[in-house]
Amino acid sequence: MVDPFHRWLRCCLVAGVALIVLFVFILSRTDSGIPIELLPAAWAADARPAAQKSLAEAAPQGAAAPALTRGDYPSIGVSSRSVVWVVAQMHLFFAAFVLAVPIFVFVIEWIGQLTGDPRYDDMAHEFMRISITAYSITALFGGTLAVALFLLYPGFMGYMTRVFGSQVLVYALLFFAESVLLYLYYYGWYALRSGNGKWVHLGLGLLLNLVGTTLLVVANSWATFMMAPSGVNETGAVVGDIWAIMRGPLWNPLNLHRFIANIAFGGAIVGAYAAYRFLSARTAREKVHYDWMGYTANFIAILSFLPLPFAGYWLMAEIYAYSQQMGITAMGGILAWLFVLQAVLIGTILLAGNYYLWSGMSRTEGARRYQWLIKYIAIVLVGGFLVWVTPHTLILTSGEMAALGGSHHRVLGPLGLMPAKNIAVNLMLIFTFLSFQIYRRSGKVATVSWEQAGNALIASIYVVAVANVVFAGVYYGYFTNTVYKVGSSVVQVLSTLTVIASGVVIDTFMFKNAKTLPSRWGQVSNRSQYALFALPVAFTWLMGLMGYVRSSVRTHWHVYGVMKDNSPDNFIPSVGYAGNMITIATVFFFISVLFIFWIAALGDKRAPPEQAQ
Amino acid sequence: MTRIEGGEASTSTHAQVETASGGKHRGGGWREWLLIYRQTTLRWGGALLIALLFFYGLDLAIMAAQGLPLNLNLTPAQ
Repeated sequence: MVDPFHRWLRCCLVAGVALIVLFVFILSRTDSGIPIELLPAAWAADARPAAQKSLAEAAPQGAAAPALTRGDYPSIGVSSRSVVWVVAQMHLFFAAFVLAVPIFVFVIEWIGQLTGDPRYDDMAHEFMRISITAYSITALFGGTLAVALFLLYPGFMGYMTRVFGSQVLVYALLFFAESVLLYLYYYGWYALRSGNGKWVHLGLGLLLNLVGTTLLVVANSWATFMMAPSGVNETGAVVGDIWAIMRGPLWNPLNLHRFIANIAFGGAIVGAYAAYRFLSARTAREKVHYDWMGYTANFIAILSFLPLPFAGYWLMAEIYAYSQQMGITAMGGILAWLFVLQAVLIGTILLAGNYYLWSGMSRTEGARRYQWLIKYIAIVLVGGFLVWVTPHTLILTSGEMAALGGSHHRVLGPLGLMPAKNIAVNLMLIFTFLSFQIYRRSGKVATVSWEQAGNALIASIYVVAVANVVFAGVYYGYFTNTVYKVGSSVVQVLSTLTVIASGVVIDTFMFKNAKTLPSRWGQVSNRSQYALFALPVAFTWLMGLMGYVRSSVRTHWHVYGVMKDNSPDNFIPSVGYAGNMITIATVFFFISVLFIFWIAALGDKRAPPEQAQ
Repeated sequence: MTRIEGGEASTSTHAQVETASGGKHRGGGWREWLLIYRQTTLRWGGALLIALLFFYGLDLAIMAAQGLPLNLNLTPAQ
């Protein structure tokens, strides 16, 4: 019998490979992403005409984008942008959560079906119970956002509706289908729990996720159209079909980034729910259940988080490729310091996730074999974190500059450059995966004859991958010309992914028929549960922060280069103001989340026997 | 595979694991130690060689796909 965890890993691997193939296929039909030379010949042949097709010369099918004046924006006495900002942020937080939860719930339910272990089914159902309450709130904020946008930005929304046309109706239909499928999936859980009914239920889950992901990519096309419009000419008049409008150069990078980020975010939120229930549990059985649930949620959040920086890197690379000015505004101008804040938040996520795993190693005696490694992992994580938060350019007085010996510090200055950050982030991800690996290994003893050879191979892969990441960053980043900086970052990413993939594959085979050591679920420290609270707070704040960056790079444009923003708020707000707005949205979101946790917990309460009778 | 137990050599894997990784060697002369070191060295050397070759190939392939030679002679590439 194969261990459920390894079934899980196989599912993740198969899903990951399928996802990569799907994205490469989609990329082959868009103007963005990987070079045509790298595509399979059959796909490249189809892609070439699309990539080379110029829409700029096509005849316009409609009027140009309107040139709005200050009078075209209704005034309500407070900043319209702030109102829309908070409402849109709340809608996005909840939408990310409700679209992500059914994805991993479907995988968990599937594992439960394959293994025949009812605990998976119960956990999946409980995850859905949290999501179903959040779904109503998502719809409420979605409706409020639509009203706020049409009320406060009528000219802009009129143009967007004209450009996207009937696609808005398709979105509404998808939303309707999502609602029907979600309620069928949740409320049909027990009715379709056995026999062929379970496969019907899994089919519903698959459909739900297909519709949900389609909703996500449709909504993404509006955001990416505003940043990098396609299918319109320089005046904003439509010159292509809806497909040409949707498939802008940033669409697929944003699709991938949000898809992965949503899963990590959803995992973190349900992890907080498990921690909340663990800390308030009254019986040992409840503690065991919510300890396991918290572990699973952390697993989902951190494992999904590992490839996220690479998707973000791709998005930024495409932003630079589309408009160098836009890229510089984001990473070299007024918004550059936000990436230091981003480093603090990502450092928090990685430290919290790792700390939770290290605490969880106390569940089994077998963990003693690996405890010596923890201090080295901690050193790398803290070191990487410090490098990542080192800024490059400081605002200095003449006295400070004289004391420093120039505008940049002699030793720390190079750490502010991108090659150093790339080394730091890759090493942090490699060592976070190492935490995962030793956690998983601590509960097992391998019985295969090639255990030592396998261990030697995986250790060698770690050593050489770390050396390769450092070499590619230092040598190509500092000692050769600029073109190598970007090129070598791909090498670094693939080195990290190689460690992860080889670690999963080797461990899957090595621990196939391993001896399992007893685990003491439910006895993990309360302190570790606070790490599960830290994760969603950092994730939420990070989403708000990077959303502000993504949106602000448009500067004074509603639709970049096509439709100017002439509202009173047509400037990039200060970092302090933005920080306050993001904090307000985050606090508001968590108040709502606590309400959802409370409602979900109410569902467990049973009436006393005399009342029930 | 060689098992070291009470100074005798036999063919098994588990005792070898104990000896090489757990330090539970219970006797035997320098020949046995040499044998263990040779096996350990071969195992780790082989694994390291495989990893080195793999990552060298990876670097070569990825940089070549981007039109960049590895350029290991510390000169700016053109």
